[in-house]
Amino acid sequence: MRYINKKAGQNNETKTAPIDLPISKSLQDNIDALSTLLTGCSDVVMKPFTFGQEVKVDGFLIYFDGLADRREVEENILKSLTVELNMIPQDELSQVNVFDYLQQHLVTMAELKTLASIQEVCEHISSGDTVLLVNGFDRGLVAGTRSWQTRPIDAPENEVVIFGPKEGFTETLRFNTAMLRRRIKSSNFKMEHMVMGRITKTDVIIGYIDGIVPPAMLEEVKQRLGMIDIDGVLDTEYLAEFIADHRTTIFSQFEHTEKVDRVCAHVLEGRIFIMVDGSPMVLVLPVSFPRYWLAPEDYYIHFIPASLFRLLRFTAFCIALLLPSLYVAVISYHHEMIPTALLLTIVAARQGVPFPAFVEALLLEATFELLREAGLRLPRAIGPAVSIVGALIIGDAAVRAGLVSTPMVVIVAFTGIASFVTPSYNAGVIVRIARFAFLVAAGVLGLLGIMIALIIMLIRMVSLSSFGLPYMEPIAPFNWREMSDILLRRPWYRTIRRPYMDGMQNIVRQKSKENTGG
Amino acid sequence: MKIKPFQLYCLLVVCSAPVAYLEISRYMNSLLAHNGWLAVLAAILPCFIFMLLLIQITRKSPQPFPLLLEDYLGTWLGRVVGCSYILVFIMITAIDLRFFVDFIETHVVSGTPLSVLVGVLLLVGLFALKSGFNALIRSFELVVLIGLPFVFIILILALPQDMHISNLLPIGSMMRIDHFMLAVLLMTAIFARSMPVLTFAYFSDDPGKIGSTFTASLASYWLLMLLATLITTLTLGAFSAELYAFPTFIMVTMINIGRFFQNIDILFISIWILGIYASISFFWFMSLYTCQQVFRLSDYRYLAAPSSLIIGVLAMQIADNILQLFQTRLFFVMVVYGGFFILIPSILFIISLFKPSMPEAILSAKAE
Repeated sequence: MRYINKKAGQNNETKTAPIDLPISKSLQDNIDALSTLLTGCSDVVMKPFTFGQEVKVDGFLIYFDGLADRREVEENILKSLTVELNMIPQDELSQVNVFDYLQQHLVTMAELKTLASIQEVCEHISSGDTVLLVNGFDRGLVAGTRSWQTRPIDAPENEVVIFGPKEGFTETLRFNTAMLRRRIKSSNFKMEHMVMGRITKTDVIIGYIDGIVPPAMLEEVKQRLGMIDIDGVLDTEYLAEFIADHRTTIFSQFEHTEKVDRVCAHVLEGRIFIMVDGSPMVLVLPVSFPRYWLAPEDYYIHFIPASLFRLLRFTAFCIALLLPSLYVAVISYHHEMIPTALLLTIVAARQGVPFPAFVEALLLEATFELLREAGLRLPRAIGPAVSIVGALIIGDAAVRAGLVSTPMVVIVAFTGIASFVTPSYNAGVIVRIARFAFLVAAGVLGLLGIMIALIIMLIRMVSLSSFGLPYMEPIAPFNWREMSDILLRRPWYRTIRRPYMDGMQNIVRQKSKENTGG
Repeated sequence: MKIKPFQLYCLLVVCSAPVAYLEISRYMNSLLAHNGWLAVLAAILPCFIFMLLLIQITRKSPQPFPLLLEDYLGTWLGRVVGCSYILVFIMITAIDLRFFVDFIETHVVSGTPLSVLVGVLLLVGLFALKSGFNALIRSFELVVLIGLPFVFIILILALPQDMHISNLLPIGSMMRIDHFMLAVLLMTAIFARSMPVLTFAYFSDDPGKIGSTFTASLASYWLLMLLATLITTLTLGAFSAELYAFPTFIMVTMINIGRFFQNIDILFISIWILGIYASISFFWFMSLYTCQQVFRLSDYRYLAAPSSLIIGVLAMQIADNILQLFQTRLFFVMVVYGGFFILIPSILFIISLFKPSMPEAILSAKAE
């Protein structure tokens, strides 16, 4: 990956840009090139110095302040060169190659390697490394001195669990990979590194378990990632939009998670994750829609309550998606379905409301979404208070003013509560958007409209795939074996196989009578 | 394309059951009164024979329908018959569409112009066809998974509402044998709508399970029709059931659970829309696929939009009112289903008896 992309068809006779230069034997040339490139970078530290007593050698140290650990640079590089080098007999030093001597004996860093181009120098210092250039040598020495302020490891706010591990990813890629490696202590657990973003040079990790993951899928992921040529990658979602099978749809084809244990569970089932430096959000693929309703803690509690909670979650999904539209359809078109006593109560409550049920529902749903968004964006200290007070005051005022009816407030509030049951944010977004479409369909054609909207949604969903995995798997195509761990939570002792994916190398996850496990 | 056994089962169910569920009990009641269910019971035998006939053709054919027509009848005759099948499939789509639209216009959204409902349903079908065959067949899986259990639940819920065993008595009396034969033939002719399976069985990823898949679909169809006929007779009585245009639907309107859930017919209709969507899309797809194969076109999808206009106009023009539609439909079931779904497959079956078994290489290629 180049620091600045060379323009296609560049004339060979034009002067080579400093970024394209190899490291020169002349230290001054290198300093000039780097100075040109890093003009305006106030945080760069460039330190020319001389070391040795009889044999004087010019050196040059470069790093970014704040990214590199200054103490480590001073202790392990500068001090070694300026103090310890003087203790070495000069005749011994003159007989050897100074560069090799520095590399092998003096710079006492674990992570040490050589560089050959200015491009590499820029890349490494941008990552927090320190580069040492020595006059007379066309190589540079890079020392791993990365150290910067980070957010501590904490429980993710968006994925709250009661049971099980709580720690979540941070913005620092290395911490994240370490947390995963601590849990999966296998040499088959691979985390391949890529650099993406022409300007940001963002580190990206593709993780999987070799021997389980479908190789063709892995190749496909790498190929799609390799085709991305963008100036910067600041979050995993940048990549998701590039590599998705279907780009123009509200249905996310990835799972986004901040939870370490969730990623580990996916990887053990043969899935692939993508992690980006600077983002705590990890992309997991492939994923099917029904799996959005599986919460990580389902597997940390006994399978019977877990199964009941799962059924509750599916019910909540149906409520969150359809309840307002069903109410509108029944009130507007099919009131014969409502028992007389209940109908009279609703009619009495709606007395004086100037809007039809459809408009009433649309207004309240829109208000609810506004309050939800406002609650998210407001400062944490006042956000929840404002959204709750807002909901109470606006709701109460609207009912008192006769703009909306109390049954509609109850319906919208109940729908709101049900929508928070969804464990996956992506699935929640789908429900929130689709709810409005159903509302419009109900307003136009009643239950018939809802069913037509539902059929269209289902057709769209079954036509999607996530890296070849059907989006509605295991419902369509139907797979009974997989379904038994979707609607309900299968007990661990019955979970002999991993969820099936085409090309999976090892589907057996535990020893049983028929097999020895994998 | 590859089809799993469950997908094949769903295809068979959606092409025979959804429309039949609403009309079989009326036919049976009008022909045999309280003995209608006996004809359904007896129809298992001809339906089973028809199923064996289809399995035999499938096993002997190196090519799927409609290409197998050329294989069996010769290139020119095969193509001519193939062309007539295109028209038949389009007609079935249009009649099914009109049948359903008339039904919902009468019972759900009275006053809504038929053209609006036809347009909306065609739009859904068009969207499904444009999404490709895989999406279509997966949507049928969802239809069967949602619809079939729901329909059985509805029937079971209807049973205790106003059941009188005496409505079935005296069993077997006052039954004209010619009406009985006609009723059995009707049941078989409607089941024969599953003839297009000659196309899809060829693409089965597990040819060894074709027999059991056919049997399962026949069992579902037969059980559904038997229960629908039996329960309408038990709850409504033979003579009342004969008076209604849609006795199954009237039976659903009687359901009342805990004096709270009442008039749930609209829920039944909502679920039934799924079945009708599947039925319409399936025969529409068959018309396009047959067209593609007969005329050796590269893709069928670009035919979907123009054919939607033909189907829409045909659906509007096919009958002036619902009574005329019933007459047209009955004629269609007896003559067209009899000719194209029973007679021609029977001829193919006879020819297949004289054809050599498929070479091992073709069998293994089919399996792959």
